[in-house]
Amino acid sequence: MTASSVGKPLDRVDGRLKVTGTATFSAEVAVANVAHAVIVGATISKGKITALDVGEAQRVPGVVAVLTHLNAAKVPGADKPTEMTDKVVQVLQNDAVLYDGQPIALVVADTLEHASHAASLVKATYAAEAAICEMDKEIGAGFAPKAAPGRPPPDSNRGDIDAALATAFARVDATYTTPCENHNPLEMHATIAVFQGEDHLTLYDATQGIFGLRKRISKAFDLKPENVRVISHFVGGGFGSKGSAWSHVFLAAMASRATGRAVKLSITRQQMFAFVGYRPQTIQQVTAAASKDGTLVALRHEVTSATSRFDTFAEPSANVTRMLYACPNVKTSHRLVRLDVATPTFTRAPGEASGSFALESALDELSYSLKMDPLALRLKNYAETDPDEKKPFSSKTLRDCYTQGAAKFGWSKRKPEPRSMRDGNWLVGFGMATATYPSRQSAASALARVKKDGSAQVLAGSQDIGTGTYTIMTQIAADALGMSVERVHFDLGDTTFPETPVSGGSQTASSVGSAVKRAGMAVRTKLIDLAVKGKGGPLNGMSAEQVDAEAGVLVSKQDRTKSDSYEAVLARNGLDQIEEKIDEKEKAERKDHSTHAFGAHFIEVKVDPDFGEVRVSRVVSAFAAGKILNRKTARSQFIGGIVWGLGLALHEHTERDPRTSRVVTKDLADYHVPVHADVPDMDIVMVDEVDPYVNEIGAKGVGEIGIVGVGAAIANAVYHATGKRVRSLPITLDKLL
Amino acid sequence: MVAPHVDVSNDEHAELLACRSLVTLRINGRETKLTIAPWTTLLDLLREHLDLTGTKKGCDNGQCGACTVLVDGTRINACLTLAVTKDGSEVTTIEGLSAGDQLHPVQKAFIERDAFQCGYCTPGQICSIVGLLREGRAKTTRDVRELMSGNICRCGAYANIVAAIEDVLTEASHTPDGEREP
Amino acid sequence: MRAHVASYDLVQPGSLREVLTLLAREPGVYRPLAGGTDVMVVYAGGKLAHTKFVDVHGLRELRGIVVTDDAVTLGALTTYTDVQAEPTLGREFPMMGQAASETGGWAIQNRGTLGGNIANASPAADSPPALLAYDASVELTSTRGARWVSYATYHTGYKTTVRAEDELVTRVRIPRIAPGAQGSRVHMFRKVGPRKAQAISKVSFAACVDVDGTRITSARVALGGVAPVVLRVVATEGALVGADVTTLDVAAIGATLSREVTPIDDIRSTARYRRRVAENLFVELTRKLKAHVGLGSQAR
Repeated sequence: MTASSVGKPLDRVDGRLKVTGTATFSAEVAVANVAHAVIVGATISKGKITALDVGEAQRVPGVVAVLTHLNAAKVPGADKPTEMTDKVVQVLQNDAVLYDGQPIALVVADTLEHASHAASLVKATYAAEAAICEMDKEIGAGFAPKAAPGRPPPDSNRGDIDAALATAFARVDATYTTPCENHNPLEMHATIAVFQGEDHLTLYDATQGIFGLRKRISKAFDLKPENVRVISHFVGGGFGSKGSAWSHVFLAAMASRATGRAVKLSITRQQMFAFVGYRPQTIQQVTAAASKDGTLVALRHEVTSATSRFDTFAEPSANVTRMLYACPNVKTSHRLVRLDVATPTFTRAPGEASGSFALESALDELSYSLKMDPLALRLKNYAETDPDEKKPFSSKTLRDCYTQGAAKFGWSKRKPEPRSMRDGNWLVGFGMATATYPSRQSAASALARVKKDGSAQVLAGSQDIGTGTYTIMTQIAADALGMSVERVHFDLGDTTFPETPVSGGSQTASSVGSAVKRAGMAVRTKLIDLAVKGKGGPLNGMSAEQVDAEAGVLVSKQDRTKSDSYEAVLARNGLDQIEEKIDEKEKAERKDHSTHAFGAHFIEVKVDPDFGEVRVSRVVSAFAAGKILNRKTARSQFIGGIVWGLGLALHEHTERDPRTSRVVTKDLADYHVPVHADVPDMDIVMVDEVDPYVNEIGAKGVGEIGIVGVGAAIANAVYHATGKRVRSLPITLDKLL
Repeated sequence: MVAPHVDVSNDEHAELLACRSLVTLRINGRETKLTIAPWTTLLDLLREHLDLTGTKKGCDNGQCGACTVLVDGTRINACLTLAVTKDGSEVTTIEGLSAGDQLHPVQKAFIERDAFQCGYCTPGQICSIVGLLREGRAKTTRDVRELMSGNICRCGAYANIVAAIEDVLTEASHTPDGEREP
Repeated sequence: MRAHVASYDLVQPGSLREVLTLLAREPGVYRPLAGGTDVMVVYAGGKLAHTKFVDVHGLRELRGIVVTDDAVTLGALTTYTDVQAEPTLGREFPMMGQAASETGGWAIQNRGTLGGNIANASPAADSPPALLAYDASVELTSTRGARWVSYATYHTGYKTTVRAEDELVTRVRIPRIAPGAQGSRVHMFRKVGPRKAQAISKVSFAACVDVDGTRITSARVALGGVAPVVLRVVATEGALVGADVTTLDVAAIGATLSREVTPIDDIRSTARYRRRVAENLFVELTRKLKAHVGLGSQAR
């Protein structure tokens, strides 16, 4: 067999482009005759536009068009989402204002400066209505969301929780809250829309899902899907916000159609807080109860999250509680309240990130009630099989994550009493939490092709949002084709390539990787067939089983002096290339298994007792996520997730003015994301795990699990350091004094 | 280089739009003369007028560092800088750091350490580091973290970025040309 | 969004005289633009009401740091990076460098100027408490001449100052201790916030206390983030001066300080937190004083 590339810490194949500034992001694609568009946002949160004065804006030299609800073309599909990732968008269809910053006009001009200037001159008059953004005031009006197809139902109940609670030795009842968070990828959402005639559209878009975008836009504009091409070669971070087609994509297309020009629309950092989604605020009530020896007897997790008046997104925070521990009596629910805000969406580990904060904080509280080590409590309730789905796990190596992580961290040095450890004046705390994330797989297609020069081209729609898709697919393809990575060129980000799912839910490696592997294997099989059954050649007449592929050369297993290169096989048979397209479905064995990745975080914090400043000083996290395809890029996914967890725990909070429902933290000075000074070095343990069932490549996906549990691990460490239990994220300084 | 197209057909705006300045910059070693509005930022000049899109726009507010470039060797936020105020200066962007196929040591270290994910903050991080090394202020890992805190990496590659910086610092202490002038 | 791009005017005179003449001819019309770290943010946010600017960043007259026997005088265009590099400031006025190193990120430190910071009068800025604690003066210059005003009287309210519309902040002077003066000096600067760099402080604190033996001979204590302006807590200072460090009534003086500050709730923090932090900072100062005179252990 060829020396395997999969698993090696290969440098990113797109690394050189990224470090030299030559990776081209959507707004940077050179398109002829491009006009620039700027969105004008509403300055109220609820009401109607009574007048819109665009005269001054239209008189700015270079202005090509000013679109408003008074002149914009109708887009009947705008408020008719059909897929899970589809959103109801606000694209100048009427005079209603539904949230702060909603698009109310679009200015198109020859230069960005002219468009921006003209946009600042659009004057809107409103009839404003009282807008509500305070969730606790609406909590009585909570309602159960409908279950999304293929997703777990909003409510669950197993065993008899009330009977179990009556017998419990120790019990924690607490309310935890997580704030509204904006994804804020560093690249702002951007689209270049180019209508060719009335019925062909090309979109260069910063998106996590080129095919989802194509479906949404083609339906909304009544175009044939094959006439809409979406291209997205590099995406400057997404984290969920770029998983849907938001209003600006529609507006760019509308402007291109209206003006007959290519239209570039890059939204501003302030607009990143307005209409491209966010992680909704949650209020979570948790009851956790155990018998004297620490055996969990009951878990109840009731979640309420906020959504908009006009669309529905529920943060599925309690799902993790259903499956994480071997508890016989578990009851969970999800409710929604409607506010006068924009629609929330998927945000890195939607549900798991926020829900694990509540569950894993409650378990920590329970450990103190039981006078039991928090890690021992988790081991005591280790679920050997999925207690919710009542199926075996396809693989689960969490116990090793606990033991290896704890050993590396030095968990045994933890003194059980809160406020018992110090470093000079600083209080020191140790905290831990479990991480888990579902290992999904969706249908995906890929095409592999070996050319007569002996190089390979492999194509799959897909996206690389920084996760390393280009690199791992190159590795998978090289191994499957029996070639070296240098000779394999993998390309993605174009709807003319084979269809793939959205880069969300940590499913790209699993879904696209399986298709790429099978496409590569199929081409290799064809080549071997040709070598043994085709015209002449040194391997002719052997059986296919007797032939191996190695670095682009077919070799006889018995006599290694007998070999035949891919170039030679193709040339001898008069072929320019040989290719196979594979449509890969979910692996059949998945049905009989529960598929999840697991991990454990061990975190040390230092807290200043006089000022409440918190520093995360050490992080050791261990993960078992099936086959690690590339140790370098996988580690980057883990540490990135943990940094997100640090932001969730300590910094990030989108705040609204309760009087107006308007966002007051609309930039990176007031919305704090972690910076260099906040982040210590991190020790990542990747636990070996073989999973024959989860998918063709045995990899579970690593993009989201890193964040899960970090909020709780930090809050638990802060409690251990200070004796103060913070149940409301972020843990700001004032909550500790 | 061509000056951006200006439409002066409208009287009301003609006077204001006619207010333009000539600016001469040496960008990545090449002298560049442009006629621009005085309120054009160095960032928009690079991205929109010169197609040097390696320098990124992340906030336009001096809060993210994606637009970091070197002006006369000092790192600055191009979004906070009016181009005309830098008349006569030497500007180095990410496109000017490597010499042909030969990557700058910081660029090499970034690839080896996987010091990026999506790559959008990367040009700014790298230019900032080149400026930081010239400043000579970063003595400890803690200094590095403080002095790089104006460059946000939303993917969270900080630990790897710091590792890359330390590689370059170690290399520089061993080889005299480790820290190459941009 | 970036507003009114075409309607802004920026003039770049070649000398201080030309700038002052422009400011005198049309007072309030032209706003001086130095490092641009404040103005450009407002501009990018589309909220910059002012439209005419005079670029003073190139004026050589406003650069440089001069050390004389009685004072260190800093040109208004001295950047935060310059402040950190100046050896006399580092030796005698360490809080200047500490405040500068915690102002914004590196980009702001390389570009932002002391004069611009003073002219903009942001109550959340990090240098003003140190300037107050060191009893700095500010030079305001116009075609009418130059005048020095004590920095303690410079701020008159939220974002308002004594500077006239035709005046430019030109220099900042910090008095040095007279040679042969008795006693020793304790400096304490502390910015309390989620982190050092790249965060707007919740509370900042600067104290400069002169001690002769165990007796406090002079005390200047200033706080940012606890009132509409950066505040000198004069009653607290009064209670400190003349007191003996060994017998300091920490609780009583702390209560005085608590009465002097008037913090509010805003999106960055709560009034209650700010007051507690102000009190705790004062306690830390007293710990530091005690350690200085040889009592107890040095805190941090």
